[in-house]
Amino acid sequence: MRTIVDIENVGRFELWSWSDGDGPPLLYLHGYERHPGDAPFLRRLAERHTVLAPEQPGFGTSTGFEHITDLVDLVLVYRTVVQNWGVGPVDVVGHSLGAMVAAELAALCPDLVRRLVLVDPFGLWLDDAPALDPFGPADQVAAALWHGQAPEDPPSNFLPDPDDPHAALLFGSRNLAVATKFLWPLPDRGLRRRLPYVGAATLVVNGANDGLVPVAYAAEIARLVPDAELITIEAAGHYPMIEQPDAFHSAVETFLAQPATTGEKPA
Amino acid sequence: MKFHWFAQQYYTQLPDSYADDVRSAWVTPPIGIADPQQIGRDYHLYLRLMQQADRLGWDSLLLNEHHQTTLAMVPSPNLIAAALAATTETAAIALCGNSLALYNPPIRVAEELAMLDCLSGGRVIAGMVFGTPMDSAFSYGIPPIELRDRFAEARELIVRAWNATEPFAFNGDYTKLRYVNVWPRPIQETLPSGYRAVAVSRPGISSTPTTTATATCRSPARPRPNRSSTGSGNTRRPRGRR
Repeated sequence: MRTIVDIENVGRFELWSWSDGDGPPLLYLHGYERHPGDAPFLRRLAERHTVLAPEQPGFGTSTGFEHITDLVDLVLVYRTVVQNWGVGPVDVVGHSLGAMVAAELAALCPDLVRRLVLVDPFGLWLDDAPALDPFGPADQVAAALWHGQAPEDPPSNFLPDPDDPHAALLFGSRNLAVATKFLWPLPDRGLRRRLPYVGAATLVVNGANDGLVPVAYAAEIARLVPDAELITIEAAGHYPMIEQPDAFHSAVETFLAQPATTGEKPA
Repeated sequence: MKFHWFAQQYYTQLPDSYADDVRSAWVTPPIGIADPQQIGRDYHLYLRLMQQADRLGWDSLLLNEHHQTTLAMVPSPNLIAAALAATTETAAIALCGNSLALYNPPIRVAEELAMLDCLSGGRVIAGMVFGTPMDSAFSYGIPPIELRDRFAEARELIVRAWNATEPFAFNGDYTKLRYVNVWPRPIQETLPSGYRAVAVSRPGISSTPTTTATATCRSPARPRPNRSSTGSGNTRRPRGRR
């Protein structure tokens, strides 16, 4: 399905979206490499939630990137997605770049977010713990992304085109190019200043061996969000939901099963 | 005592009625009165004067930076400095400009001053200035309230870039860079203050026109000892000291 978002004075966005499941609404925002498509971990989330997982503008076949001037415009897109959904505040699970955006959404639109899960979240820079460049040499990035061997076919919404042998290369390159808008040269667009305004109860989940978002970064985000806990997942890198699906699922579902945040805390 | 050669590089052929007809010589001077051919001749005149000053033994040739004005047609003093670096022998080349807040990323300044220092054999005095309000705020659009903060951040980045022995990431408020590793580096050695070939407009003093900034320019730093064996014996002697 495609999610249509019209924002006055900004533009029109048509977002490829994965949606399935029954239960309370959950918005999933994917990471900096790609939308995971019909991934096992999304299907598992859909066992207990109505999951909507839109692809970010500019990734894959999702349009509207040209309307985005900065991160706030992207927040406006997801704000409108949730408002148009019309089901009230939703749980938000963001991964990687998507977690950076999810945290911004929760800080700027606290009435739209019930509970917040940030998985290996970008959004900070720590001078004392410089993290590897996610757009650096491919072999270094692959080693930083995964605790174990990189899977040959990580979950993706890419559809091969028999007439275009370069389609996969273009898909990956374009996704990364769009991600640079928010992560290059350093993944710091001021989120640190806004994290204290996140009203929702927050779970930060981080792969213990993530070389792109080291645990120190996740810990700093958990420290800055007023109501946050941090769970690190052993033997996992940037994709704990793929390398350790059971541990990931257990942490997230246990957290989301709790009641809505009792109330916003003063920032 | 040092003797610095300085001539404000104004436009030499203003119409006689200019003061009566035109309200300002800065920010909004009418471009219609400017003849590019004449400006070219003016540039050659100023270059010849400075080359002669070098031959006559002046300690430094002083350049400033201004924008959108008939009073100083030197929006990029580095370009004049490049011509001087290649055509003079002895005098220091005293840059009072670059206006650090105007350049993003400021490593451009680090690179160009290093180029000039290499090209001149270590004769650059790197005066760093805020720029006047007419330059930095009106012509370049820097919000005045940010000017000093931008200057301080740029200076920190430039000095680190000149001295770092490894590439580093820089996460400033105004400039973000993942790989800072400028090539080339200046010939001159780090000053005892921690700055290398740097003179600085002191915070707390108003962002004075660079015509008065000569007082903030220091003598060139000592030449750096040769770092490679192949460079042995090639070091130019320090400039600006006789």
